[in-house]
Amino acid sequence: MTSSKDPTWLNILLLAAIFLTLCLLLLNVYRGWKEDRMLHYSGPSGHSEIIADITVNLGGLPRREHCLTCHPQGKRVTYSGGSPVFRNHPNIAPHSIDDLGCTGCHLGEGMARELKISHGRGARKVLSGEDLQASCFRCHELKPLQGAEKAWEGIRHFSSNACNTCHNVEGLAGGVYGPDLSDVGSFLGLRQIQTAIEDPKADLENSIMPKFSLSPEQVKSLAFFLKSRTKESFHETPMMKKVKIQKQARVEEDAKKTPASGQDLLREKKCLACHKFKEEDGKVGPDLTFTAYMRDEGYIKNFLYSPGREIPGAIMPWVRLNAQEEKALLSLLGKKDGTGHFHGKRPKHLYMALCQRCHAAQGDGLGTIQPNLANFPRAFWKNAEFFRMVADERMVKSIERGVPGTSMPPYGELLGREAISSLIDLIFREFIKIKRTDKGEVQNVPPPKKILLAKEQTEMVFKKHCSDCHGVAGNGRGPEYHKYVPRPRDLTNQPYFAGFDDQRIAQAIYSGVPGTGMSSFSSKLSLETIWSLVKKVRDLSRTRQGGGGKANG
Amino acid sequence: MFKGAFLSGLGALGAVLVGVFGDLWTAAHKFSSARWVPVAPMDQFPQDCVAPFSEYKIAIVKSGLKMGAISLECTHLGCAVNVVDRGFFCPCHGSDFGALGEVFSGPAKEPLPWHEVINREGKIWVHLGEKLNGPKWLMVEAGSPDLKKG
Amino acid sequence: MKGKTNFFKHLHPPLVRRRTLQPSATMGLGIICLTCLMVLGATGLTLLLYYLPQQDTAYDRILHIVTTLRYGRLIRNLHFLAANVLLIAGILHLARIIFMGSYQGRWLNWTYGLFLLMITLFSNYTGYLLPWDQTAYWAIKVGSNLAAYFPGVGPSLKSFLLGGEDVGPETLIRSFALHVAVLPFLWGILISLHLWRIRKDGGLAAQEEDKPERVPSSPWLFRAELAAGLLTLSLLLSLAFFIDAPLSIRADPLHPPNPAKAPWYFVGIQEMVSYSAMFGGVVIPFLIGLFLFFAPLLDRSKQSTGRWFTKERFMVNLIFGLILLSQVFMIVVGQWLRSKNWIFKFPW
Repeated sequence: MTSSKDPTWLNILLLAAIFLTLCLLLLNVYRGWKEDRMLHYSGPSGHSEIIADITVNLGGLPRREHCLTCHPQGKRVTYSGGSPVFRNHPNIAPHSIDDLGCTGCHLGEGMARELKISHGRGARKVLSGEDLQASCFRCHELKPLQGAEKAWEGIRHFSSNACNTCHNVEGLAGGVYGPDLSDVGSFLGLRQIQTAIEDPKADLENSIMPKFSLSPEQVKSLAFFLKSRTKESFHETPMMKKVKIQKQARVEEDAKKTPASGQDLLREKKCLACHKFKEEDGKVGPDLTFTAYMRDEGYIKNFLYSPGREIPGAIMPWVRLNAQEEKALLSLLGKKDGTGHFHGKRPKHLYMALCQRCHAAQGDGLGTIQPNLANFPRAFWKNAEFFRMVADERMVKSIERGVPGTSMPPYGELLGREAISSLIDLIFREFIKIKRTDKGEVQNVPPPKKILLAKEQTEMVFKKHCSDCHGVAGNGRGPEYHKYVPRPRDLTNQPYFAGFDDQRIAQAIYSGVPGTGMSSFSSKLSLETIWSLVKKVRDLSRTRQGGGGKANG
Repeated sequence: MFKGAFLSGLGALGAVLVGVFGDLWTAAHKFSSARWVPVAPMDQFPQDCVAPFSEYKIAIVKSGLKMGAISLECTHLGCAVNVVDRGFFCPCHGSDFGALGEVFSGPAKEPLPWHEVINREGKIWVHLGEKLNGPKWLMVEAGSPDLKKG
Repeated sequence: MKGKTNFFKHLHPPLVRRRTLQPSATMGLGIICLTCLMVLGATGLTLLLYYLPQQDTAYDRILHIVTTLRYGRLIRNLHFLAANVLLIAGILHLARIIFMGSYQGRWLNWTYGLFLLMITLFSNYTGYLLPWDQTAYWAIKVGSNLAAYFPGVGPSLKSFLLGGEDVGPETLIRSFALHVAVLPFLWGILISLHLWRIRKDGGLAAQEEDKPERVPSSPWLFRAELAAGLLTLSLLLSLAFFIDAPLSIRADPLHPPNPAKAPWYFVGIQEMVSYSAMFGGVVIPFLIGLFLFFAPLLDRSKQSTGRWFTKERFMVNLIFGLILLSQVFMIVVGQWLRSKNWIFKFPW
């Protein structure tokens, strides 16, 4: 019995709800059914409900695959005008599909039966055609292999191009500077590996890997090799692997030949993969051709032992040589053959031969090897304001004696005063575009009137005003450091600050440094604060006023 | 009186059952992967160095007469850090650590932990699985080969 | 008069107040939650036939379900959507109860509701891990680290969740066991208690009336419930058409993504932790929990249940409103406005 008070609207609502649900359910069911029929191509004989399901055993790991549902007998499928065209799988004897399955070589996702997903993403992206070479060395021993010539090239490049100086690959005794690449194939796809080599700073902006000058073919072959470095091993157990590596290490030890000499030594030790020496050039590091005129044996020895002690922040890995090799290297680098004598050469040619590599042909400090240097080369172009406040004597000294703690070596012996002066004239004329004598008034920072701040207060001021760029530890890597070109100075750079007097440090804070992100703090900080910060810089760099520096050259 | 015995008996039974089940449900933390591993012979480190051993995710640090083992697991999300000239650098998100594991910059907030080390049978052994907040140095004998001075 | 009766009719009162059938009274949120739960049960049992909680195999199984089985994709999508709609509807249901004061005189049922919310979060969390893809693995890594911030119980809670010290095969087995057995068991108990208490406490809370109008449950209450349930189902089915349950690449313990985020319902806590680990991760969630637990007791106003936003309950409503808005804000920021290294960045 219904009365007028009954909520009859509920009837309408319920009917609408039933109808709506039914429609949506049918819609979803229809889509699911259609997907199953159309997107999953199921075999050449028309629509088949049977899904090819095989399990292959790869090195003890069972792998289940549905690939053969759409690729019967491994055939390649293309569509021409709606109907499928099949091409037989090439003969891969002695390999067989029954033993290896498909995903062992081709990667991809075996358990999926939808085009996009089954052809994989990232590290599992399917390999086909030439790219298949990337799979060969997952199982095969590292020696020349027919059909995997490019990948074998890659293995050779890995060693000859100094990749293994920084990167370790299990079994190929490498360095530890960079990420371990023993499993990189399990984590990155082929294209991703190629990008990582071609553009190292793409993923991690503060990566210290330099961009090596490699041709696309070389990069591809390296990628083929690296893609084969995976976690899972289909054919050997971890124990077998360990024994193999031990055997390999012993073989390398036995094959100690007489050390090469001369330029061959540089090549063998991979120096030329980065540095320049005479005609050979790796285009990553500085030119070593004239080292004899710039550095003494002690400096070279220390540098090789720990580059970061002479140039803090240098990305060069340390080099360990035995006594024989060291002797050969020092004699090579220390040979003063008169061909390098630059007295009397024209300043333009001097610039192109010696300065351009770092300071750039444009004079803007962005030379070819600049991204790999720990300190930015000084910009000349459009930097007139800086050079107006720098005494002429300081410029001469910088070229003559070099700038310790940076990659700027002393050119005094190589060039001589006259050549240096003409070089400076050139720089002013072509790049800085002001008269060499055009100097501004540089006022000294007055001494403090009151006592300096206590240590904790200085720390707080440093944290507030300085650490965003110079970092909490003062090493130039604060959270904002990547915004500035040139980068904020590394205040822990001892050799650099050892040659300064306190006045120069105070001047940098007081008036700022033109051409860089260092602004003037005279209006923001009191004199006492500034001089306290000078003391902080001395603490950070472990130097003292007027001395404590090491003479170079 | 029967009721009293009844209830207390049931109570005891319940307590025991709770104990047993509680033990099983919280047993996970009893499994420890802490163990001592012999990493390398002592004479493999004649000079000051930072020698990584990626299979154990540690690096042996030698400085003067002290030796220690620092963890190479980044304290941010666990990536393996690389050894660089002034310390350690994490390639995953760019955390920067100093030579003793202190944080310079980056998303990591905690410094790199250390492991205990001992010298047994001429080899250096490291206690994996247990992390310490600061370095625990092992003193080596004086009379090691001349250290290259800068 | 002995009418035909069955278990379903037995669960419901014979008469129900007409007012409670209005959409503006309860908005059907309770039925929405219950429907979602039933969908989860049905789809879950189906997925259970094809899943295996083992590190690499789990991912393979999900691929199998989604691409090889007919309607597998639909079932998985429904499961994913119902889980999230359940959580959102549950929170809205909580909000409705607070803003309407329906908790008055019903503190026990209120606590049952809070426990239900807790196990909803927990079910979502344990289910999130099961595909063992990058998002899942790192979400659990971050989530368990967040749990460890709790003083005292934190580390034990973390090792309970992970089945050890680190995310690994034990974690997967444990999450699976909790997700398909332990939690459904708790669901059953708590739902029964929750529904029983509604009747014991006098039915759906509605405003006091002098002469309440009552209509028979059969058919009206049943039709209202059925309508609400079917509309929920329609919502889920229409969403399942456009939104696919996510699946990223296989889990890689050595290579975290940047940024690594907790699931959306915990990303608000992750955002708060980025400001202060102790305050954001422990103190504030604890205080929120405390407030929610004791809110009905804090409310001193006289019986004003069934009416929206009365002046007497202003304080409680205000505090809850602020909590809700601030947490939604945290979730929005953490989910969409945080990029690499947790740096603030607009997504456009």
